[in-house]
Amino acid sequence: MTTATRPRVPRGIEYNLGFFVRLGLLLGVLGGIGAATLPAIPILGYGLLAHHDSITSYVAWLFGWCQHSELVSEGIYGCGQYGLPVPLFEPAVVMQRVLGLVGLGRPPKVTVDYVVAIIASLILLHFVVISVTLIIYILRKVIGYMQARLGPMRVGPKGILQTLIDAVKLLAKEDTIPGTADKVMFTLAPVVVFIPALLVYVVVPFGDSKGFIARDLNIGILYVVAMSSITVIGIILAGWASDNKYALFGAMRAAAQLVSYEVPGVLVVLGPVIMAGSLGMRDIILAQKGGVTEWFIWSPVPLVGFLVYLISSLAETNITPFDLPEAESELVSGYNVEYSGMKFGLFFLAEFANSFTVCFVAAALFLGGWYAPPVFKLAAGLTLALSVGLCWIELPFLLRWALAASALAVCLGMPDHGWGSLYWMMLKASGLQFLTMWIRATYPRVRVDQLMEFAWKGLIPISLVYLAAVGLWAAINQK
Amino acid sequence: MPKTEALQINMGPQHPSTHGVLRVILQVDGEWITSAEPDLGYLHRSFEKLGEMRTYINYLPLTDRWDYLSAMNNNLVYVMAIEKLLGIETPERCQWLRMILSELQRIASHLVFVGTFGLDVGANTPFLYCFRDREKILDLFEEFCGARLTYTCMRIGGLCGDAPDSWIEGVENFLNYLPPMLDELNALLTGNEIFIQRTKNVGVMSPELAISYGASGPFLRGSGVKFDIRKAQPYLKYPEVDFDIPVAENGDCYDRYICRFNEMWESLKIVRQCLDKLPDGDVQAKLPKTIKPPPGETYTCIESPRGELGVYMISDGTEIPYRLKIRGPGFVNLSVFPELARGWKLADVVAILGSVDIVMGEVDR
Repeated sequence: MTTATRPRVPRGIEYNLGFFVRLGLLLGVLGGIGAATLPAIPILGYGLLAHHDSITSYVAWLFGWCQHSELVSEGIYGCGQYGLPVPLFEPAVVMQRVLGLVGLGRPPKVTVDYVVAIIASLILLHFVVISVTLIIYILRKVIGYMQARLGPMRVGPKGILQTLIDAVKLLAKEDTIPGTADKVMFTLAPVVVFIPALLVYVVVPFGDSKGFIARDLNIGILYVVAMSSITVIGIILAGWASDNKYALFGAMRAAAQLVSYEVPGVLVVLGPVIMAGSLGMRDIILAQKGGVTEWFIWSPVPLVGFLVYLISSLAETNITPFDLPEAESELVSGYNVEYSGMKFGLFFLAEFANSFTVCFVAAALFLGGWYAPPVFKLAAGLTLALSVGLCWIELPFLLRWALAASALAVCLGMPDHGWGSLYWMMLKASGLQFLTMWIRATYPRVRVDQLMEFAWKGLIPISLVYLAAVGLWAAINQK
Repeated sequence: MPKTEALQINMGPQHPSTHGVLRVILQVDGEWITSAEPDLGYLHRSFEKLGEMRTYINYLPLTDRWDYLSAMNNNLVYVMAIEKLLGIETPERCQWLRMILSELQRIASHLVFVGTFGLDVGANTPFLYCFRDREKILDLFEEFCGARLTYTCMRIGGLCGDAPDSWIEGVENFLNYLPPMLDELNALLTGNEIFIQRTKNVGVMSPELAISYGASGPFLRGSGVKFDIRKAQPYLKYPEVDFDIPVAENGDCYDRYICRFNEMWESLKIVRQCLDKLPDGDVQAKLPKTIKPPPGETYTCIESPRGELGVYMISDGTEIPYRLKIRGPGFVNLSVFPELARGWKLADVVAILGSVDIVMGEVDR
């Protein structure tokens, strides 16, 4: 008896050229990764060539992606000083080791770097996962309170373990793949979405020390932009491979939206880059050292750059007024409608990881990173104190205001260097994250054409004018 | 060259914004809708036929299930039809109480509309605000008749019981409670720039189109036709209270929304006047031992929150109606939907369908 095969659902566009589409998507993935890493090579290579006495060591470095440990130990690149990512199986090192074994060269001195690298990457991974878990819990709580309900209450005290349990549930779920789906692509998509979300954290500056940034690439912000734009490929993969019309719709919308909003986002990012004269995240923050007025949210053109960046990053991370690719009421769930189990979990994780990255980047580019001048300390302290004192009404009166007072005291007393800088960076990023939650609870969803119009007729002209203004300002003020 | 062709999408019967189990067969060209065809019947429970198999009294609980968001009005039109056949006049107090109940029900139903319409265009918060406020009305109903959704509250010739004084007090408290909440809702949703962009000039229905399809209720009044059964063919004590009929001009989704929103204010006004004029007395009329209306027929209609809700009833002089036809406003209003949706975007279909304000229980019956 032959089992009846389910007829393939006809699609809007007849994909008779399935093979080519698949090939194209694969090339797209490779191209995206290439586009992200290729610019790094000449830029990094420019500085490096000077230190390589032979072309072989340069090539070895090139293939090793990161500098190998000999150079590190010589302190040329500074990577080893604050420890990060020397890949475990870095080809150059492996080759040197093999050569060393057969007596054709010196074995590299690598042990310490490997340990540091592994520890650091584990810390980053855990930071991402734990912060996302917390953010999801806080989001549900915050939106719950905004919507006159309680949010999660059952698992753990005040429902604090709810996300953990949800993650366990996702892990335990059957991982289904629809019968007509493209299995390879379907499985690949969440990975393609999740990995860049994780990789972006490599250049996120958490605080004022080289120890608080995994790797201060001198193309930092370019790397962020390149990495986060890979996401769209994963989303298209997911939508196309699911063989579901709603998913396809979501994917098409995502492609249009993410590509459009990348343009104003990147244009506006160039403002702080011009002002700081560097693409490195650390350098950009260091350039905003001189107090609140020096922050790039005000500095040459007040607010415009920051707002445009915030709006376009909302759109890039699919947050509410722009959540068309996964519009609940139209597309049910959009591109991830067919996903279940941890594959869905990866999409979810990536989305929140991305939204937190965006907050970090915005804080670093426009809000002075970890710098907290006295004015800002006072403002932040008062805001925190009032929000604890006035909002947390289920706590007893005295306890509530004691908490508020201590929040104020912590803000006033916390230094903005060393470990204290970690606090300020997190505070600013969390504040922005809260803002996105607030927006999420307030706004309806825009329509596709309105969305595109807003990007191309609104944000892009504004960001171009902003860029021109900043450029002019920089040209005039240059000595 | 890959060739493009129209894509057929099944929206529903399981879809978050088809308000139940409506299935809409959409032909889309990209995001554009070339045709939208509602496919009904997933919630068909044969209410009209059931009416021919039950006594007049036994059928009453089933009326709650027609339009489950305004069960009071369903009760009302059903018992009014029977009273008309029997030739019974209900006591004064009963009529005023019926008015209070049906206007409260109108507010509750419109609150659900505002909330779900917000959901349809992607705003999640108004929904919960609306349901919080609707809860107060349900509490009042529960105090009155013991049920929160399917009341069977209005009985032939009267009500299930008299309203205690505490209940009247509760209604008064509610009248003071709701206005600030409506203002808040107004500020959150009606004034929201994105909401206005999503609904203004979307799904425009001309008055001629609306009338030719037999549309009624706020759906019709959004197009500028000032027709309300409470004014046109008054029933209960509506001529004795002072209220306006909110009308809008453009006939787009926003106008339909605004009409319903303003109706809530008018209903509040009506309930307040009813409370002032509420007389003492009995709430139950004298009834014959068995309900056996003399042979004859009647068409009775009222203004339900969704429009003209009518019952056409033929009695052959037995305990069981010969024919019970229900004229559901949602069903009639939905018939305009294909005309409205054509030429708009996928996202607009959701908004337009939301602005029709259907309840599938009454569309499918």
